[in-house]
Amino acid sequence: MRIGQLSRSELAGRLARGGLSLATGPVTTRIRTSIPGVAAHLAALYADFPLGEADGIADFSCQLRPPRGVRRYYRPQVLFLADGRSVFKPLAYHQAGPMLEWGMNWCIASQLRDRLIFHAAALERGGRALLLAAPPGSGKSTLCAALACRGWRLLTDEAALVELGAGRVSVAGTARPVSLKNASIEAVQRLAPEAALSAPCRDTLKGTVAHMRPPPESVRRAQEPAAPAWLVFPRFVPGAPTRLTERSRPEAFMGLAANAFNYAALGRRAFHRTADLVERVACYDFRYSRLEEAVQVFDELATRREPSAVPGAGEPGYHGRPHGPGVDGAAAGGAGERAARHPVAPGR
Amino acid sequence: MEPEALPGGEGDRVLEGEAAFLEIRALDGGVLAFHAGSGETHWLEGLPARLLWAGAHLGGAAPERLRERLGDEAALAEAMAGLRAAGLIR
Amino acid sequence: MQERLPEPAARHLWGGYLAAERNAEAVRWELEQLDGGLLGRLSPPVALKGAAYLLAGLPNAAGRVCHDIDLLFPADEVGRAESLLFFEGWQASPHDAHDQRYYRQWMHELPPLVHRRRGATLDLHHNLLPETFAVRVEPRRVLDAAAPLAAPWRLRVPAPEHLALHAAVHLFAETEWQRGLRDLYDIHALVEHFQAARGDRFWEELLDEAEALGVAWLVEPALACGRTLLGTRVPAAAAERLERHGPPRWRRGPMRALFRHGLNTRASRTPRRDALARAALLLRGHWLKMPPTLLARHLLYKAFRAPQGARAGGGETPTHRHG
Repeated sequence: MRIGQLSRSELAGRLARGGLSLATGPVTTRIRTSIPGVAAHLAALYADFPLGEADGIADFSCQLRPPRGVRRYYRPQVLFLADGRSVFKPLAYHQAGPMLEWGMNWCIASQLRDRLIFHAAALERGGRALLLAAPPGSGKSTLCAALACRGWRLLTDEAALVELGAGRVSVAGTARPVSLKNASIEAVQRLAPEAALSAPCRDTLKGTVAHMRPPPESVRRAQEPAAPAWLVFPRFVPGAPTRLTERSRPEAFMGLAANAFNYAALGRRAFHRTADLVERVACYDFRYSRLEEAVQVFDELATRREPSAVPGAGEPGYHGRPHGPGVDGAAAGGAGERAARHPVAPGR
Repeated sequence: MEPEALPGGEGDRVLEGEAAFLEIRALDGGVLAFHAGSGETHWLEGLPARLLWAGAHLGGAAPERLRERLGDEAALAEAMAGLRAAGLIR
Repeated sequence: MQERLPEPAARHLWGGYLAAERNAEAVRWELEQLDGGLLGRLSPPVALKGAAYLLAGLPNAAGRVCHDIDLLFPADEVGRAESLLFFEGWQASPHDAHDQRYYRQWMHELPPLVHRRRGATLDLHHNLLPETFAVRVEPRRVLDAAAPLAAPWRLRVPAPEHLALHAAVHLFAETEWQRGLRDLYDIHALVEHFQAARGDRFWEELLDEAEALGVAWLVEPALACGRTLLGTRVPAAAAERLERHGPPRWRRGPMRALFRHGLNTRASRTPRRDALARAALLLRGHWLKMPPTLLARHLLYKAFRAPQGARAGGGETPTHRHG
């Protein structure tokens, strides 16, 4: 059964009773809330996603509710609780939808230790996966949304999951809605007027935020991983010409590891799995400002039979600062950050 | 001995003392070393990379055996200094 | 085990195992660095809690995550240890003047040290319990009875009875109970292990020492909770002897309920009662830790004068980093 098959009142009822289990590809989240904004958000963006078994196991258990206290009567807010513990500062009540998205991202980034998780968007075409690894603000989600509207299968716009066990290297994702901010909302609408976007949510910490409903085909195949073929470090530079340049594998390794959420927590296994992945892909830096041209570049890349080889690295010697325990701090944030920064640091 | 000439894939013991903590991988002429104690990842090229790689190949090599591999004293000293600068050996 | 568990559950357990394995490796290495460094100028320190379980190869070390490293020094060496460690990159974490005074004057440990480059944390203790605690424990007994480890370690680990006592005292004098179940499991695994290794003699030594240090009244509820929740086996003779240190009969029921709810995880069926128990345990912990006037001063300061950052609760993070 899919979310879209529930009437709005059934959906709200299940959410209120804590019986809504949302299956997003490889992970399942149980959500409890009485906030109508969450039901509306799910109805608008998650209609194609299946429900998990009502009494089955969920990876994460979440609740959204207003903070207790008198403030709820004159300026209501919303909290996100994972396993009963609030993980973020409260947001304004009308931001419950984005709060759910950020909360689910937090769960994946900080609670999964059985696979390697990269802060990267991932898409698939012809059985081959493209990874877009970059910190927030680099235009990764915009590019991801554009490609998902132009025939690429969306794996994730936020967290690429890579199994640690032996066997072939594959990338999976939850196929959840793509998060768009400010100017990128309009850029995606211009490129793909048919894209289904949620009503923009204003005045969040990131400005105006809207989510793009994932293509039904991506949702249907969300359980299906893909073999990585390209690793790209995108950067949106206003006015810049579109440019795809090769990056050496060691440099790509350092860049990818710096964008892992749980590299420090997994140690040598993360190191080897990251190397396994980088060994198998063609690595590039990508600068762009025009979305239409950017999409063309990736379409061309996908039609090439073999990813081109990347020549050896440049200057010999030691490259700058060690890539140390700080790695996943940048991505994981806050209390999770200290735990993630070093395995011997205070955690939760 | 160039890193490319050696089989890739397995991390192995490298230098005595710190051996158990080092994992190394060769990628396109660069060598990546993960120090499982400090959790730091290093990217090395040139002599330090060759020394690390040779050490891994020999399976926990002592400096005398590495000297044989690298040919001369100066090269060994230079490579060791590189590794020390990276905090990979004491 | 993985064959019988549903896959999603097995995955989370495996992930937990991987993180613990990595943590143990990092802790062992940090301890090697500390042991081979400038601390060599002082008398050999005693590793406590997680570090001790790991070095002594005790059964509760497997799968356990230590968030910091704890070392015990004689009181007159702990200051020098801090100065020496500064040169190896260990720096006091930022605390305001009140917190500094609070730690240095009243506590059993210095403000936590954080490694400048690696972010690891280290606690330097000169006692097991705060100076102002309801009973004063004589740290000399722990230092003198500590056992050496195999060469080349200089570090020592507490004697079996002190390991078990410290685990019990630590939890049952604690203000924060969020890792209570893990701490209770430490107590359980330690006493079962030492019982198997040394027989009833271990229990005699444990209780003799608990009485000598004046902490038997904290050991009694620890073992009672262990028995109820984890099935800890306590020999009849020891149970009888412990009984005498328990609270009076009329307080026993409420105290047991308090601890039981405090030990519940966040995924429990009784969240409200658990929250109440956690609040009560917080007060109880502070009460045990400090004389009332000092406690009032400390709490007032925390409530009204502490800078915003110090007061912001529970590790919440701004959402914008999770976009």
